[in-house]
Amino acid sequence: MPESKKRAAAARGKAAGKKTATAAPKSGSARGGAKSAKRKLRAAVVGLGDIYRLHMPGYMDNPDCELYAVCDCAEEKVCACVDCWSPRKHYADFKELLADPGIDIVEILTPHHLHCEMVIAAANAGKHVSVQKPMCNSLTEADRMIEAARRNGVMLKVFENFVFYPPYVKAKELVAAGEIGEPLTVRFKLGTCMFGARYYPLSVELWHMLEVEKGMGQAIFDDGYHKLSQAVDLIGDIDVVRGWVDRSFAYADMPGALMWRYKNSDCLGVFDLGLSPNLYNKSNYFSADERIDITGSKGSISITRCSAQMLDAPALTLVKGGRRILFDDIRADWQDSFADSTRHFAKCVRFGGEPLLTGERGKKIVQFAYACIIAGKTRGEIRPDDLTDDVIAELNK
Amino acid sequence: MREKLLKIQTELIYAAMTGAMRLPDHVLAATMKTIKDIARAMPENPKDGGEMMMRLAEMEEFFRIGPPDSDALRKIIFDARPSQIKSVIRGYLINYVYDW
Repeated sequence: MPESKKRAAAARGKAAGKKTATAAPKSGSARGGAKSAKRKLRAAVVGLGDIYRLHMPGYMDNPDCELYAVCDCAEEKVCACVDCWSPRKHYADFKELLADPGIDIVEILTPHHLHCEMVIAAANAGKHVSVQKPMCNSLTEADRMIEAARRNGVMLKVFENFVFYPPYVKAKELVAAGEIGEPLTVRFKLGTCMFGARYYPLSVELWHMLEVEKGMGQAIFDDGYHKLSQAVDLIGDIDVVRGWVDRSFAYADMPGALMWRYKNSDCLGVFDLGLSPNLYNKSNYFSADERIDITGSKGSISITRCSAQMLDAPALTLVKGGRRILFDDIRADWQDSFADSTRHFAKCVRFGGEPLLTGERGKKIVQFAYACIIAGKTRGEIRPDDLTDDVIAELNK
Repeated sequence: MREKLLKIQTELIYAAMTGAMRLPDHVLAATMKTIKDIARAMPENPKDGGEMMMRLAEMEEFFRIGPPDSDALRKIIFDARPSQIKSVIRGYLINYVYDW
């Protein structure tokens, strides 16, 4: 049975309240799993940049894992974090942190180019690793990270929160339960707005934008990783990608329109992204108009928000049989997706199981993202599976 | 009238920005500091939640440290389509200065 159908069958079973083989936790799947189950796990958060604040609530009231340590080379960031979140220990040196035998999980939230070596070092130290998306910048790096985790018997998770956003999780259950029939199209929208977000430093924006010069970019490779993860998580692996991508503000890789076919489904996917310099969109997080529309053979599902709430509409709407079913009471705070992702991984490590985005799946998303970028540049058809680092370097000049 | 005022202000600010970006980093850092000091002495603008003050402080820091970030900022101002930069200026005026 193809992987996508297996997952759909498992999700259908879950929606119907049945236990399935894929839903059952694997025992002893990682070195720390069995021994750690006896006590609450201890996590260390490494890299106290802008995003770490959204990760912290996942450790509060977490029955399986506590915030044990934090690490950053910038002393003022460590001090501010300790004041706010009260970890037991704090480090300025990553190597010293790895030598601490009390740490079970290392959560790496550093810039992308640092991920590979830090993940390998953490795995070699026997720690389970959660690494912030995008997993890394190259497929070779991804392979090295996966191999290090395998060799050391630890779990590697790519931290991606959108696949845990409660309205999306519910939508996925509805699709798997056949509520809209066969999915025909799935559309992801990213509308970046310049006004209305919480304050975050210009430096955060700038280093992301500068990634475009290295062939990656903020919209598709970084933020897009969320949407591309959902696209694969929802329907399955990607066969081929086409697209157009323009440039805004010299560095931002949008507007763009990308489309793809899936390998094991007739469903088509679309991702449209734009930047509206004069659009105010109030948000406690990032000011982005994010939506997902899933059209099926007998119904459709709309998710109207993620990090911001531009439309005055329920977070999730199901239309079928001439009726509109509004999910008004569903948890829809974007913060919840971070906490749920953290809790899920802690459960996987403590009791056995598999992260939604393993190293292998995380690598597939990197390939998918590069396929989108290259398709946007070359205006040709790109198969993610055909991409190697050499091909990426050649086509992504 | 409101539209005309917005247009004139937007064009003036855009011209000032593109002109200022031709100055050396250290001059721009000092300029940002001066603007920041003037802004601090003025009544607080509750609409932007202190964002402009923080942005000015960041810009001062960027130009004090210099490349590559200061060069990247210049590139954005010079290489972006003028309509995009003006749209941001207009957005700031509408949302944070006037609340129209």
